[in-house]
Amino acid sequence: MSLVNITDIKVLDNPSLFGADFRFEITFELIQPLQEDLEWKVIYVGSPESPEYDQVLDSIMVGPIPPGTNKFLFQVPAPDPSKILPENVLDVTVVIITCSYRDQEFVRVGYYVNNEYLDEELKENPPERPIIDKLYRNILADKPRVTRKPIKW
Amino acid sequence: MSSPDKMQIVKPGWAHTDEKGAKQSIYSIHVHPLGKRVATGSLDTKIKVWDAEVVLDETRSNEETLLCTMSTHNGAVLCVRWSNIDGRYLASGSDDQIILIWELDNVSRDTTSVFGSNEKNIENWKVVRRLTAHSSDVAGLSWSDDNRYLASCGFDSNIFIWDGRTFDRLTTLTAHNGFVKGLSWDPVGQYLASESDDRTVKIWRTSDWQVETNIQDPFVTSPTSTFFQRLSWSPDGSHIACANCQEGPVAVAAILRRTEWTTVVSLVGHQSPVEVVIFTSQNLILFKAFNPKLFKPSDESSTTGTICAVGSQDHCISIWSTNYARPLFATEQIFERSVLDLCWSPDGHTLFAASYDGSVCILRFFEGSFGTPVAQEEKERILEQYGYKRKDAIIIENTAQYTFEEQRNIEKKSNRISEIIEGPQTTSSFDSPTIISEPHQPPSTVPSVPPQLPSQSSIQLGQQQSPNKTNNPAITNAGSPTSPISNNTVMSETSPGTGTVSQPSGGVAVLAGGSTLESTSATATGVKNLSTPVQQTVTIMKDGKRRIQPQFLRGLSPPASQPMTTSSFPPITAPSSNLQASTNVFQPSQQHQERQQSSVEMSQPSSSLPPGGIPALFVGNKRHVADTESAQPSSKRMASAKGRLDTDSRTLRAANELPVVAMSQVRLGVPVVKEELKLELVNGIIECRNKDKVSKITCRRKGAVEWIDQVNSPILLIDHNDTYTTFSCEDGSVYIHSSGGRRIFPPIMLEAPASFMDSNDKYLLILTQIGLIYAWNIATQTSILSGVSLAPVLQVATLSSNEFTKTTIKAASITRNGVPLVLTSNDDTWLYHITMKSWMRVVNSSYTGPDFPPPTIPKWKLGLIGRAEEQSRTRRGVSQGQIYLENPGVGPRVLGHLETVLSAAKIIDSPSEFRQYLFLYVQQLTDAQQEVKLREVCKELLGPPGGQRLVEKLRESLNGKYTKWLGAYLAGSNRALQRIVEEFDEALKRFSQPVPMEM
Repeated sequence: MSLVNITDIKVLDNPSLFGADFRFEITFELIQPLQEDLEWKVIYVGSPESPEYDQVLDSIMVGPIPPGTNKFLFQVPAPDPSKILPENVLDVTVVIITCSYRDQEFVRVGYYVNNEYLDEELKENPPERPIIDKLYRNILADKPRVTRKPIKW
Repeated sequence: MSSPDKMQIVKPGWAHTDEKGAKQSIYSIHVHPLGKRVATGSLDTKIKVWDAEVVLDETRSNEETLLCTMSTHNGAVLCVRWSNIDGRYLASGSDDQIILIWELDNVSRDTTSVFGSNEKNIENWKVVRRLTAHSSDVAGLSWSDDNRYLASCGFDSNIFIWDGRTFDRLTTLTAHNGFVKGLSWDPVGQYLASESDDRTVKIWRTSDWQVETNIQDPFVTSPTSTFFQRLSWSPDGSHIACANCQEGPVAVAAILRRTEWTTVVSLVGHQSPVEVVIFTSQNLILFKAFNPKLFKPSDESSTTGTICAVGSQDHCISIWSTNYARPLFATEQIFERSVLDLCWSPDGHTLFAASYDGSVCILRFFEGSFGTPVAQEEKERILEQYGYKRKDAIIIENTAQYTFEEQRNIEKKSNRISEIIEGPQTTSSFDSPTIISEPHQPPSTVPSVPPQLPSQSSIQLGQQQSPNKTNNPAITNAGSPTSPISNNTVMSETSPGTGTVSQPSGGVAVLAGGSTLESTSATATGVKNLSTPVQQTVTIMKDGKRRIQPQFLRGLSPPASQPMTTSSFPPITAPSSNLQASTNVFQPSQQHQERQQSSVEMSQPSSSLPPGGIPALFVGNKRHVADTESAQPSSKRMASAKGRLDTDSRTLRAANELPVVAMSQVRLGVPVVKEELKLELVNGIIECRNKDKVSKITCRRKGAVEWIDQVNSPILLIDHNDTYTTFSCEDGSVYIHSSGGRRIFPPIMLEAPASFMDSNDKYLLILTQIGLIYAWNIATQTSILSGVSLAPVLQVATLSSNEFTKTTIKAASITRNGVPLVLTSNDDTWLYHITMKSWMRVVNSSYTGPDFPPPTIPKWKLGLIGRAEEQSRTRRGVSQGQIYLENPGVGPRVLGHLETVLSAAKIIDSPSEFRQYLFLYVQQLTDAQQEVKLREVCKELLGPPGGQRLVEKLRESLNGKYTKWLGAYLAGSNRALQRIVEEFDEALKRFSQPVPMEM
């Protein structure tokens, strides 16, 4: 079982513009002291077809952590739209938060993300090249998918 | 066979389902000892806690029965067991090889959703311990009846015995040669029974953990294909019911009789095995559970009977009684698959069963179905014949005891409350006056750092290289002389003391040394605040990666909860209990509680080297984060103390550093300048508002302003007692006001501001920033001590400890007869002998180590020295154990120690303690036949006229009976010393003549 247990993730500033930073307020519980830091990553899935377009938005180390309940704010930049195929910018994709200890990933939280225009005109006739400034991102914050993996602690 | 008139079967909708809604096998079910909660463990890796009261009450059918879902295990949960008596803990064993101990989290009472699922938790059970030892599936768990032990068994053939309070692993039982699938404790407490696939039941003695006996007969032909073999010990201790036994080709229920350990072939009281065969048919008996209650049959037969439930692979449950030849009840096939676990409710009238088919079944028996339950006392009487001793049932004989227990409970609660309210928010404004302070920051956001973590130093290290340095408000505002020597050197000198070394992961940041941001929420500036800002510290590491130190919200469990915080979790949870002790020490008596709290934020001492600095300076002698923490009010004090200093006010800046401080060899931290200082009095409050160069003092009583004064320097410390109030200012001046608000003296001017201030009755003690001690008798206007250096105390300590744990001063106080006491960070206590003009070490921490078990004096009776010792001991994790007396001849060290303490008790004038230690000392001398010393002691006690007031007091308190008392000790324990007793006695008799002894 995991020594680290995510108890809550709040998705802040949601929905927001596509280009705004992602902000996650992560609360987790540690039940035994750890030797090393935890590495947290946010991955933006750029394409439903290929992992080639996945972007690691940022990765940080978190520590030192006293046993008990801890909380931190993880703010990461928005994905680089130029690295996403234009046809994949709109619509539903996934953003993933992972946490690893000693390079072993033990938990992965996935959120559905919907990118759309609010402007009716653009909604009806989306331009071929997405207009990033008018594109909004909505994270399905209340439906996280959590996958846990046993690792060697 | 079922008797519908006496039994009702309830099938609650309790289930563990997978995503498609399919029921997952339930491997274990257990009822909380208070009867309300039922825990189930399942193949789906989850544990669920259900509300049994709701499910059995038809009128509450619309209420939620699922209280909590715990999905921490990574494998199927094979066993769940509540601890006995109060059911504080739930232990769970899983095929992920781990045992988890759960406790109800009272901190977050609200319904919370389980992250990543739709489930809502009404109660929050959270992991407090994670026990790793098994190298395969954990199949069985069992708490001993008194919760002293937790036993676990598994497919690695091992049985582990854990301490039921600390959860330390006590021993490993390895005699089994196959999967161990069931455990049961003897209710008498003598044995543990285990059943294994190696076709044996082993009975282990709890005295030495050896095998008492090995039972093989009933199992010779048993198959090993069962899930579990959960055996059960009858509540009267007389029998064990074993699962999975075979009589020839036929499955039977073997009942073993205690002490002979032979099989009583049929169920208790039956001679013919046929009965058993019929009801268990060809199916294996998997599990048996004895009803926790003994029942007296309603008919005339006189013997009490035990009720046993049998679950089997034929999907049926049968209930047996020792008093009847046939089963009392047998169910139809209530499950689709085999029964895996059974548990009786504590009242003995409800049976919970879980099955491989994923469903739960509740069998309710009506009152009287089994006869009348036997009262607990009678059950204990039956157990006593096997040597059962009642524990934890000592009747409280006096009200004092009751009061103490009650007090303890209150303390526990308030500890918790203070932890919730204050604990996590402890601000550590450890801004060093000359180098480091928080960079530009909105004033309302003092960075909060987890109190337990002394790691701020690592961050400061990074910061010191940041360009922010010049913007440092401490420098610009305070205009203090900056250090003549490079900051780099200084910092590296001081940093070991602040805990970087002890903090393993702190090293990363030290290496990093990039720029550092310290902000309330990373880059929250300009962004609307949507939720409470996270207070975290961000460091940029060498590789450009951000490292975040998370905001610590709360620890694992409340610190006051006795067993949980001991030994095994030393680094984090321990401090709070230590703090409590540390503040106690410096609170000599109950009358003097109305004293200033030591919860004062301290700045770091100046770390600038004096001109021409010598490397052997006391640069490290400052308070660490941890020490400031220890100056936090322990809740014990909060509960009892009448005066309380409120330090929640925001920090204005670090105190100015006077030039003299930079010259001094010894430098201590001083409190930072607060905007507001408050000291709560019994029926009022003293407030100080520090503004620029002046400070306004307001004293209110019963809501009305009683007096107002204004002084010309910011006030750093306040101290109050019945007769006067003392204010210590930043410029080193000290104002003393009478209780009516008159200044008794013109301000006293000291060379440096006070680091510590303490008053006791008419005495006032001040320890200044440069380590000089002043003490006055305010009433007689005389000086007791004037500028006595603290260096000896620090130096000795420094030499005796390694460089990373440099000694610091943790507290200073004065006793009611004007003896200054100082407590250092390595737990030595020092007193200043006024007439000898020297420092003396009263409590040497090396005497409180494990070789020096403390005397068993109830804690509340401890005097000053006792408390100091006790505290030193607590910090070392030495528990109270045997008495000195039980270790005769521990040797000269003990004698030496006792002699030290005795003389200290004389100096600080603590007759009760003198008596306590004298007692121990005389006993030691007697044991060691130290005739010469003993004679000296007697002589000293009698006089000669040396004006030993203590002896007189001792005499009074013993009503002159101390011949008898001493004599009983000496003569009683060692005849060789009779003569001394005689002499002593005679001398005493002479003495008791009306000749005045007082000199």
